[in-house]
Amino acid sequence: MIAAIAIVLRLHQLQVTEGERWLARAEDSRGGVSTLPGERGSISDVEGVLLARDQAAVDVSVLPSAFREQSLLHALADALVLSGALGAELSAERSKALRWECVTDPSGALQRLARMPARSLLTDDNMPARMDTLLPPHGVLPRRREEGAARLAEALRVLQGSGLRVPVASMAKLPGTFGNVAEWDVAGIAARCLEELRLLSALARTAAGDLPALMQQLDALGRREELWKQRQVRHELRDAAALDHFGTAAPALEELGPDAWRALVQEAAAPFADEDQASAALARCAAWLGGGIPTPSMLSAVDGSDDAIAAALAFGLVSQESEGVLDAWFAVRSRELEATPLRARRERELRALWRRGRSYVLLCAAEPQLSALVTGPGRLGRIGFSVSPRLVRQPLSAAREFRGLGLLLGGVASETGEATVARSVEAALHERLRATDGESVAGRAAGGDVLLAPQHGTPVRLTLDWKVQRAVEDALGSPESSEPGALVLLDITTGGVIAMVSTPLPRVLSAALAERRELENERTLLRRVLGRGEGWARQRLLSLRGSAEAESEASRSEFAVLQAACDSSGAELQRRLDVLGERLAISAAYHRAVDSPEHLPPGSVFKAVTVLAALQEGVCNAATPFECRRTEHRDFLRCKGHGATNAHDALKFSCNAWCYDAGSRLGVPRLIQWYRKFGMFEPVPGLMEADERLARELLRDDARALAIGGGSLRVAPVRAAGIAASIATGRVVRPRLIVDPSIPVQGVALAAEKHLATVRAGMRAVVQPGGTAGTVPGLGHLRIAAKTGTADYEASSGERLHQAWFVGWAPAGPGETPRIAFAAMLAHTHDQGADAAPMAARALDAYGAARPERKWW
Amino acid sequence: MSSPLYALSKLRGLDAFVLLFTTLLILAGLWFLDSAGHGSDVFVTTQLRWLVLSLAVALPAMFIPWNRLLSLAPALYAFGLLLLIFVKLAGPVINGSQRWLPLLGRGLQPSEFMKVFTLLLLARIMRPQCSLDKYGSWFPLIIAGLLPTTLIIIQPDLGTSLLFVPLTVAVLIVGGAPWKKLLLAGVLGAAALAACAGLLLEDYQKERIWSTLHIDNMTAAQRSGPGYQLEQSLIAVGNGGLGGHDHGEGPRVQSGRLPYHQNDFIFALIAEEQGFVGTTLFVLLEVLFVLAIFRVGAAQREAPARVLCAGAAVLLGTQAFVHMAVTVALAPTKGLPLPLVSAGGSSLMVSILLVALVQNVAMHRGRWHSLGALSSSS
Repeated sequence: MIAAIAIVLRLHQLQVTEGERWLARAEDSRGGVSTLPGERGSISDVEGVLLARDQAAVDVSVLPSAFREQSLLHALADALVLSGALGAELSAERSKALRWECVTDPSGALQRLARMPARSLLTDDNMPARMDTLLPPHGVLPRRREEGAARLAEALRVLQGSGLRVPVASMAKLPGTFGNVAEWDVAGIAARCLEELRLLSALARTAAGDLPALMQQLDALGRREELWKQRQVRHELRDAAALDHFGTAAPALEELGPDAWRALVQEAAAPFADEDQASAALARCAAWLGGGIPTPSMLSAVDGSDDAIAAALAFGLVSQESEGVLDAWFAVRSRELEATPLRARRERELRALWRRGRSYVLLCAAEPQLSALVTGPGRLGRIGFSVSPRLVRQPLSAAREFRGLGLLLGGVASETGEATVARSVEAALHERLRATDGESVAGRAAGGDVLLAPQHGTPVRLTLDWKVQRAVEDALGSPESSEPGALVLLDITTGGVIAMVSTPLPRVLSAALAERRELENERTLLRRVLGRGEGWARQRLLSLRGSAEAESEASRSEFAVLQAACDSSGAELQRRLDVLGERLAISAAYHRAVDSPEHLPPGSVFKAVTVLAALQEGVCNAATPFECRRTEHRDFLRCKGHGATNAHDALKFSCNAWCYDAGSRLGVPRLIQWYRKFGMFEPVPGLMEADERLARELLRDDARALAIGGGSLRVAPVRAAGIAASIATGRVVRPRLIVDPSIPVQGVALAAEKHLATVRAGMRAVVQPGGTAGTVPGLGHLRIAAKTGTADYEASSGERLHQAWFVGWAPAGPGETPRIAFAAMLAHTHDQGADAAPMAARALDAYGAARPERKWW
Repeated sequence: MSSPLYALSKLRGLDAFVLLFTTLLILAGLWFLDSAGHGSDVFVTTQLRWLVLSLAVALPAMFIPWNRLLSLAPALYAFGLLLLIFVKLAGPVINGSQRWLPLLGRGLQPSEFMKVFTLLLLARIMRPQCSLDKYGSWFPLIIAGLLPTTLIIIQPDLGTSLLFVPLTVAVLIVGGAPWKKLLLAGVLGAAALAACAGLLLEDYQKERIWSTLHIDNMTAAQRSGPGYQLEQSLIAVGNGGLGGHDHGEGPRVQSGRLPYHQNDFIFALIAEEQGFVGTTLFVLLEVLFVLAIFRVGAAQREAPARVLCAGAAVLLGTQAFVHMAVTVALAPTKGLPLPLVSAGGSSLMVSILLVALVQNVAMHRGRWHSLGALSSSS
């Protein structure tokens, strides 16, 4: 009895006497433990220009158990579909490009912005204040009729009057880096205005276009929110908050027809002189249209305002013509219809989570501005939504000039934080760049009390020169004309990669990578079917059909491939495999300087290594001539018949016979020893890992094949450039992509100076008249030494193709200090190794143009 | 005599108050579990399944005369001890303790059943001629209570093990132990317990006690660690206010921030949804339930029957009020389900068994003298 009385007294204390205090505490501790995102290390070029960095984003989660009514669950599923379109709008290509430009070329971006006609309603002084009144910090619902209308009108005016035209002076005055400023001005203003429009149009739909009635409802809501604090009208407010976000279904536009629609637009825009009426009409239009944010487009269609058109175009709101707007609207509607299965699947997921009471991530790595929709008094946070901050890697695929670099840098998956491209900087330096998230718990301190501090990743500086990289990418031609190939420029003194380009440049990087994944998966599957037989394919089909995993995109494509494979003969499968191989061979999703879908034998480029090894090991004499006879029909043992050939001429004419002889004298172990000396099996810091497997494979090869760069030998262009740098300096130069003082710059001496001189002279002769690249146009003005290389192979079409190499250094004039090594490779060519020479010449010219102070040749 | 007809005739002896309050508590439990399921009926259906199973098990416990049940007490007690040893040796480790046997879904908790077996043995020991005037005569009772306590402490499950202390004390009181001696033993026992507390308590248990005493001064780490459940529980209780919330509308519990709200913290859910008024009524219901059981015991002449009722009342009442005290931070956080209300098969079955024993006593009044079964069997 005493215990019961004590409990009742305690209940009275907690629930009656201290009720408000615990309610406040509930608000305070709403978040529980939250994540403090760790920042992945940034990547910059040799001069400190940022190439990749983390960007603020948010995850929006929802606890499905907060939605007990079926209708709200449906509405949530709708919101999920809608969220896809939302994300796409906010990441408009134009704003991304501008942001990127501000990071990489601030002065250029400023000049470009300054040239824009800045007839803006926003001035330096009033911009922050206007933004704040336009959308209060937490994006609260408008409470009064006047406030809602004024905010709608203001949002429209900002979009129409200023759009992306940001006064340059205001950018300069605002604190932070150019990137931040641009982000605030361009994406920030746009997103906030769009959000405002979205919020208000959703509210308008709720009230079936009757804005005054809606505002009256909001007035009532405002009063009810006060009551909510006294815990008396939770139902009403919760429902209202849900409607705030979801709205209700609107009449289908298709039923209205174009004439009716045009009349609606006229009606909406005609009384625009009066802000209140215009707002009401616009909201009614939005309600009839039933979704999207068509308001600026509608206006532009009616009154032809240039500013409105520009704003509409900037945000992907398509056409200037009313017919165009209508078409676009139908397109949006059809996309929504396509999304029906998506909605059904997500609803199933939601139901499952609901039963388990688990939280569901509604939007992953969304724009931080979206948090305004969720947080704040009276918003969705009340009914189970939550926002957690996170950082995502800034995507690099937006503008043309990033495509090559984007492939080299690779990406980071926003969900897992893992690198998405296997042979890329992000993947190779993942351990160094990686960050670990911390944890905080809600508390009195701003942002909560830190439980576990986040561990930020280490910033990385690359040896890459952004300007040169861009110049070389430009010089290597348009994506349409480029053949598969790669080019590497290496700083001879440090081994640092200055520029590294792979061709063809992907038009849209993400699409190219997706296609590559798809093709590789299909190839793997078909190989399995061929290897394990049709029975395995049918069994796999059955297991896929009966499992839930068949819901995923990957499984659906696997299902289709297997089904097609089961209906095909072995020969058809083989033909399909050949086609896949061909498509992968020309895919733009490989950075061929480090990664290739094909075997890359270096061909005659390695004769320089063979000659140097033979001279240094004493198995050949530089001056002693070797009689080369024409041989054609003995497998790889072929030569043109150069007659009496010494070491110098062996390189100049690329004599196979001399190298066969030297190779057989050296033997495979000694050749491998020399490859090891050149660092061929060692890692390329920042790019490639060690490749000891290659060393083991080479042991089984014929020494004569290795001597001419054939057999199992394969080399990435970046390593080939390193070999050229080593020969040029006489010391082992290890290529690298990162600036890291802990890695020694130059290795041991390679060989005696006299032997090196012989090899260098031979390589200089290659580009002289009579040499294998002596007749290549466009090389005359360059003082370079190089070696051509050709590797034959038979394409799946049966056609005989060559891989062409051109590897060397510059300047290579008498008495000149070598400064830069290069390696150019063309994967498919019909002629000889000299085909790659013009590629190297164009790259060197581009380098000279980008860095005239370093043009030594 | 044990024919179905005879059994049915005995139903007239059922105690109506115990039956009424038990039914009300079970129905209330199902109502609150429906709310705890966040819209899912998983807790309710599971509880109903266990309810049917428990009633099936409780029927023999109710209809076999209690004096015959007492003759089985030593064997059941030994079986219970063996189960406890087996769990310690071979039971799976769940949340850092070995309490469950992997049977019937998640598992059975032998320590829960040991409460019934111990009660039966204590009643068995308390023969009519048994006198507790001397300390020496307490010895069998204390040993019978101490053995399971020790085995359950090492599981570890401090909360359940401590229930055997009031049970043993209640048996001593009902058995007629002198008050002075009881008081002296109580003081000495409490002193010994306090002295051993430092050794018996794990670090996390000490932190929970600290959190209970310093709920307003917890650090961030404590708020997210040992004090998390307690703080969330208090917030939920506080959120209830005077009038509470509608069914399934308690924001703190429904937002999923209070773990174990379906069993160890179901009183917080009740307080949040029912508010001060409703919760006070619920506490009153619990009090009436316990009093009804005591009332049945008080009407008995035989000591074993009185012990059975008093023991059941103490076990159910202590567990219920400790559960409530934990929820409102009057006692350190300890995972004890609310009898007949919380989700959990073993707890429900044992609570119903205890109620069945009480009804057995009510139905078979005067069995000791009329049958003399125990004396003849002993």
